[in-house]
Amino acid sequence: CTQNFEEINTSPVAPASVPAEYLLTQAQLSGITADGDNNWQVGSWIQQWASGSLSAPSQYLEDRDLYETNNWRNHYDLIKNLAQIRNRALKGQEDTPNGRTKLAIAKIYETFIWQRMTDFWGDIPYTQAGMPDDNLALLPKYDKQEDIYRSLISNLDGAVAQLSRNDVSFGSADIVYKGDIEKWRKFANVLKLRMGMRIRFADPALAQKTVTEALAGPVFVGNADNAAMPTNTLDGNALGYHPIIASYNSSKELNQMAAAFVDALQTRNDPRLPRIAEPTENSKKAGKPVYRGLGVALGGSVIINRDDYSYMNIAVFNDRKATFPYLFLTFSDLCFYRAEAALLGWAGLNPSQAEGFYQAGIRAAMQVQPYNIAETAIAEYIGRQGKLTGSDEEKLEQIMTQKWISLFMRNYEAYAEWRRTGYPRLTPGPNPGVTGGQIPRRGVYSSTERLRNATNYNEAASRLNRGDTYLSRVWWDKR
Amino acid sequence: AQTLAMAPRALARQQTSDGQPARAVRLTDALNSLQQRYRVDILFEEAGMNQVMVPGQVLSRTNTLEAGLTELLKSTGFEFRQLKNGAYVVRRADRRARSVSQTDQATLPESTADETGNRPETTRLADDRTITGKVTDGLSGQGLPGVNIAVKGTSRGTTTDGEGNFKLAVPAEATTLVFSFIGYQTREVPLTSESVLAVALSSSDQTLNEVVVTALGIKREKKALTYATGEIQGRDLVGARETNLANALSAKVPGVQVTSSAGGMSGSSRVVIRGNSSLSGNSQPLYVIDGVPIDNSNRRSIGSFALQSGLDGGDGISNLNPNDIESISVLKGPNGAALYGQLGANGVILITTKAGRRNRKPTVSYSGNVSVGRALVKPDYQSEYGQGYNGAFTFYRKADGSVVPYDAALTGGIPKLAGGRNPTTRGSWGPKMQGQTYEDMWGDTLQYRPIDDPYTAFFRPERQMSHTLSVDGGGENTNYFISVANLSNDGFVPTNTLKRNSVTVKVATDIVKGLNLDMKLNYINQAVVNRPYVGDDGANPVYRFLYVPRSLSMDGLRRYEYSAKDIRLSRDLGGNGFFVGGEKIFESNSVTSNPFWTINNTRNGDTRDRVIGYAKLSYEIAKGLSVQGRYGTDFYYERQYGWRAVGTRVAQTGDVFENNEYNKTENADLLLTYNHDFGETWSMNVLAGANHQNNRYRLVGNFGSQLSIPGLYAVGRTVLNTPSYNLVESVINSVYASASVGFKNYAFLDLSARNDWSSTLPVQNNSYFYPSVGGSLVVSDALGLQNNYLSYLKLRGSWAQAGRSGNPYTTTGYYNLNANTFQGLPLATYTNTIVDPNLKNELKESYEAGAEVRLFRNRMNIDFTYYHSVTSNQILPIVISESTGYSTKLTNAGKIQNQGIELLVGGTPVRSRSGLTWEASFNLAVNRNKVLELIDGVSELVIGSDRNIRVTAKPGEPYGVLSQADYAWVKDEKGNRLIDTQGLPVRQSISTQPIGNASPRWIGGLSNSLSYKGLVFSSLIDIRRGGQIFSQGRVQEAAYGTSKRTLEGREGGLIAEGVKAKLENGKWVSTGQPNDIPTTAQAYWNRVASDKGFAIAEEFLYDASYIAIRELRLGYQLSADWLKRTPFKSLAVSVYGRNLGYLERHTDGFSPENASVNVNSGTMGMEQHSLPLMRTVGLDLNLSF
Repeated sequence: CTQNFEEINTSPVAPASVPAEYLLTQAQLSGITADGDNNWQVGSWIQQWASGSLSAPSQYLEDRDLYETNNWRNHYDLIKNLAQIRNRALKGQEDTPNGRTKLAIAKIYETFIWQRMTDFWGDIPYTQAGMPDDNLALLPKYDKQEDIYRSLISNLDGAVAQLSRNDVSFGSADIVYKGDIEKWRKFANVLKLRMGMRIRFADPALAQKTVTEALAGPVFVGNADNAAMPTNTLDGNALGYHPIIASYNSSKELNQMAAAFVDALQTRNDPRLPRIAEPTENSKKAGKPVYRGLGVALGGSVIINRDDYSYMNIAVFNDRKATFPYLFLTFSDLCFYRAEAALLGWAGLNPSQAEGFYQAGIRAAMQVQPYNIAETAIAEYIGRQGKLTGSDEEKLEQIMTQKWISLFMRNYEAYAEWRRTGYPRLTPGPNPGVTGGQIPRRGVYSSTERLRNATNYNEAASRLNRGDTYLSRVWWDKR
Repeated sequence: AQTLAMAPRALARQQTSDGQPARAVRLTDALNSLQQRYRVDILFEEAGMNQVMVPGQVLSRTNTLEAGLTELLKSTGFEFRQLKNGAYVVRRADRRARSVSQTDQATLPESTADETGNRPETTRLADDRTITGKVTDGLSGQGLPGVNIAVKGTSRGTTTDGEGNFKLAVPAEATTLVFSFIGYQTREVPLTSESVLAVALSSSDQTLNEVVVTALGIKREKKALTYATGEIQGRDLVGARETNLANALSAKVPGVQVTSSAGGMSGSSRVVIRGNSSLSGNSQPLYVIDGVPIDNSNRRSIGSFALQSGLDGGDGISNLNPNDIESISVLKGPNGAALYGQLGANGVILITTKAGRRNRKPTVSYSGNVSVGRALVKPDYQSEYGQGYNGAFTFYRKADGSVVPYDAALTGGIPKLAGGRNPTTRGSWGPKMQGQTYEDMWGDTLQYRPIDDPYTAFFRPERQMSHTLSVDGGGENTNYFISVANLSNDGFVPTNTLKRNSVTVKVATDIVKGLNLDMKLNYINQAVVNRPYVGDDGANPVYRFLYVPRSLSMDGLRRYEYSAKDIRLSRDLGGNGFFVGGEKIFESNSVTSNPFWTINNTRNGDTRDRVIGYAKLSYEIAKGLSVQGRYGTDFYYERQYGWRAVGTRVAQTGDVFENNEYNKTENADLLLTYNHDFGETWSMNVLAGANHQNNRYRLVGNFGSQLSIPGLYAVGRTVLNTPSYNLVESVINSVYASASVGFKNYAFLDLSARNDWSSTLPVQNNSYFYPSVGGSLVVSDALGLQNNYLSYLKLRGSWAQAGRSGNPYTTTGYYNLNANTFQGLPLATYTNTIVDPNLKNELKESYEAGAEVRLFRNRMNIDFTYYHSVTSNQILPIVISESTGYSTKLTNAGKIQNQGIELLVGGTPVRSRSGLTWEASFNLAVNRNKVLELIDGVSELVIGSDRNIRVTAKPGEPYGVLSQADYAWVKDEKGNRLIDTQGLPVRQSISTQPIGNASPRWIGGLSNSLSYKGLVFSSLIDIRRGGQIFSQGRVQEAAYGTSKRTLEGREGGLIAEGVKAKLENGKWVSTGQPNDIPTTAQAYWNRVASDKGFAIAEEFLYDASYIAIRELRLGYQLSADWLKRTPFKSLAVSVYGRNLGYLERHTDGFSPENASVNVNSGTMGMEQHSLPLMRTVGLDLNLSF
């Protein structure tokens, strides 16, 4: 009476195995979208968004249940699904043309996700995460960020070596590069460059070595090489909205621009400003449109008239009517890193080359959607703003400020770069929160970790100079 | 005392078969056989009948019951007659002067009325005097026909007529009359000079020979049971008039805890028997109707984690019509439910529906009810301070029309209030409401005064009306019951309605002799419109009105669409999502809706067509040996449909969804029973059976957003579409056997064994076995202890196991394919649950021991049970570190123990001759729960969580610990809060901190019933002691300053309780001095609960104890005399009230019964903006003709 039980107990709606392609596409879609959807927390810490003044973290208050816990879960879920590619879908194909290159591409992408995670939280479960589900560490240990970085850099090297032109690639299932392995090779090198530069103040030797190696390989040559996720509009598909457009559709108050950002654009007369922000409602009513950013972390005691402050541009971001690709690693990133490397004299570059890279970075950043700034306007802007002046430190500040503008919509990366270099100089908002009025230096761990992985959590928290708080610094955060 | 046997007896021990027609059989056996065959109750006195033999061939003839009886009793000296309730009584013919002819029988009982007074007495002495009178039922006051009346010490006697009247000549020396009647206590009445007697007989303690329905629908004498059961009669259920039947179980049976959910009358109920035995999910019992398990799932309930939004789709039990129910037996655990296997591990609620009786003219009954419900407990709103901030208005509109932050120095314009999202600007921290002129956020100039009470201005009284019409009766070979019912309920939230129609047809018939077919079909059609949204859902009106500013204009909300003026004069609007005709809200928050918009411009509804039915064929193979085959099914189709109009704040482009669900539970079983008596001493019942259960669920649906044509709510006609599809199937095959041995009808031994094969377990582990053993001893009978004080004493004990398998598809890891593709590319993710390919069955092991005592000639009864159960190897989705990439791991783990006592004390303190009877009953259940083990490495299991609170299980602790999470006060070693230099308590970031437990220490109920003639007054008091409840609703009130609790310190400052602290090396250290630094109420509450995620949970934890007046009822049954002139056989009216109030309560602004969001254990102890409990007053009418 039990002979058909196995058949009965086999799900008729969920498959027990799927092609690696399905997993990769989903992982790319959710992993890249997540890069830009934390504007109410991280976006306000770097003072591009003021909107989040209504969210607790933007008031420097922990709300880890809502922010970090969800982020943590989503990121480790992402790692799990990427791990399914190597642990199941392509297992045993590591050295065959059918698996080798696909696994390398998945690894490069996974490394990109890991960097975002460790940059945000610091020490995290790494070696004991993403394991096969029949051999799982139920209580994963937290690895030191220093070790994670070394591992990620070497993983990138390994993956690049594994990319092979003659292998089967992902094709259109790879929504970033359509399986183009040369572009992935460039991506891996720019990512390696980013990693090298990130640890510049923590491990200068490894940083220089990594940057030098990265720049020796093939890298992006123009915006055509940008890592971009295509996004959807009204095509009948609920998936794949641009993360910023998706978030814009909720409460309007959450989408006001921060004073620091609006001021930075306004004082430089930046042609991107009208594409990013909207003049204040009241100034429009009065017939004299002006841009005005709102302060951050104002606390509960300040009563403001929101219509006196700029919202983000409705035509560009509103209503899912417009769309443009979401960029997550770009030619302009490369240019700004080269400018920085030139200032340092790394990778065979010399300081005199810095300005050229700096200008190339500004140009590349202005050319992309949704700005599409005309060349004449770009040239005019570079004419005014494109000079690197002063000491090397002052030059770094200029580079990093332009980079900060260019990283608009890429909240995690902008936050990491601000922490790394301290530029642009940001004045914290007035609310003391739990940081005593300091801008947070990291994300706190998930509240579920405190309960479900307590021993390892406590050990990791004890390694942090100020415990598991917003104020502890990650390993590479030395400035 | 007479030994009376009331049939059907314990598995009617003797039957006569075709095989031995010529043999003489005992009359008692023959009667037993007849009652089996014709499904009627035949009452007889065993005494004096034992030796009487009758020819067996009488039974072999195909005959009508009455013809058979007549033939059987011929020349035995016994006669029969039919009682009013359809049963037959057989007794000595010499007790009556004239035997009742068969012709008379057909028209009984009416025809007996004509005989009144015409009865010749057997002898007449010269000095006789005549006594007349009436014998009535002590409870109902109705006349009792057929009561034996004997003059004590003589053979003289008579019986009462159809109305209970009698007339008897007694000798002068006679001193006492003895009144006896089957089913009633024999009563001796001393004769005085009175010649007219009114005698009320009380029913003999029915439980002595009470028959209860046990597992598999088998009726057994309660005497023989080796475990505790609880019984509720149908009439006690309809008295409650609950829309959901499960709620009516509250406080009636010891050990059964019922918690109504947050979803109002159409929502589900959480029923837990003998404590939570499952570490995860729910501990809900199995519901079985007429032997057929039904589906009680609630697939649309909000989760146990981050209780954000949704509605309660109701549970299966709520579909039933209480009027169809004859009785309910509660089997409290594996001991009673061993034969139900895994489904019965949490207890079984066995429902027996009404059936017709043989040889009875059709009786038409009508039962009708109307009721009105209003909120029992409303929020403790403050009505002194309105919207604003820091005691002032927020903005100021100057003469030129511009709006600037409020400054008291400005004059010449009027103050204006903010919309805004900030809790402070939309909170009620403004000035005192004194009728000042101000401008609200929509630009309306108004008087500053309290908002109309939402409980009258928005909500409406819940109105319910129900009608049930039934016909029952039977002929010689068939009995039937047919009912048609209609219920309509207009819910507390406007536009929420529930309409339920049901038809039940139950027929049993003898196809040929010995072969009986019993069938039931129950069709239910239920339509619910606009189920209330619960929990944190923005569309939950309770949530909205908890924090709506106390000065808001209800009229402003009532005009729920934005006008051009609203938008022009509002602040913080314009741009995205705010347009003329769109949903008007007072804060530019994205999620909390305007309830007036919600009820007018959004819809949700579901229509369920459900069929519950069975067909049972039983055949008597040989004497004592029967076989029975049964097929039962419960299936439904449910269509869920809903939409939100264009302009709804949270769905600006509109949306529509439709889901079609199909669920089917089928059970087919085969049962072989053999009963045999070995002489007078030993009896034996054996049964063996097999069962096949099949469960199938299917869902096909679609969710569409971005309406192509506003107002066209059709799935597939929208811009975006997400289809959904699901299919789940499982099978359980079982074999079981049980044996019961009785010794002299006072000692019983039960054994049972069952083996299940479940499709949901891995092949190598899918078979599991579990036994039970039990014994009972009627000590009073065994030792002949009966006396005036002790009437009955029974001891019982049993041990049982119950196995249990888990959900389907949990032995292999599956990928979820996304319903949509991305640019034509399929998308997949891997499951979040690590599956276990080696899962085993769970095992619950339980033993119990108990005693039943009856005292003072059955006037008082006590039933006591001790039980102990351990559930181990639970199939648990262990919540694990999300760093693994998974959120749960499914495995066999954990051990949880429940032990407790149940006590029932009942009695009849007053039973006066005048007809006044007072019956009282008290029940009490104490459950002590302990989590013994979890999985290795997991120190605490989170069962449920919301932002600032967790429900957890931890080894060594009881299940359901409530812990505050994320933030807590910093306290000194004495428990005083540390107060910072601004006068505010210092808080710290924490993981979790236990603050209470959601489980009660004990629960109980007290019921009283006073009856006098046709008048009955009854009450039910529901008691809960201990345990805590956390209220998220109170957090909301505190954050926004809308409750009375936030009034202290509005003027002149507030001194927070605690000790002053100073900052040393970044840490707050107590100075030891009591705090004297004033702060404002606003600042203080903003620290206690600046928002839900930051609330300090301990400030919102309440003692959940209560003593509630659950039911009061006053009923009147019209007397038969009066009804004689009407077409009615019976007519009763009653008024009742339910949830009338509390004798004790410790919660502010909400009912402690709202202690669960839904049936999930993870929401126990959490109040979450729930709909108020309804205080219901209603009128009942019951009549038959």
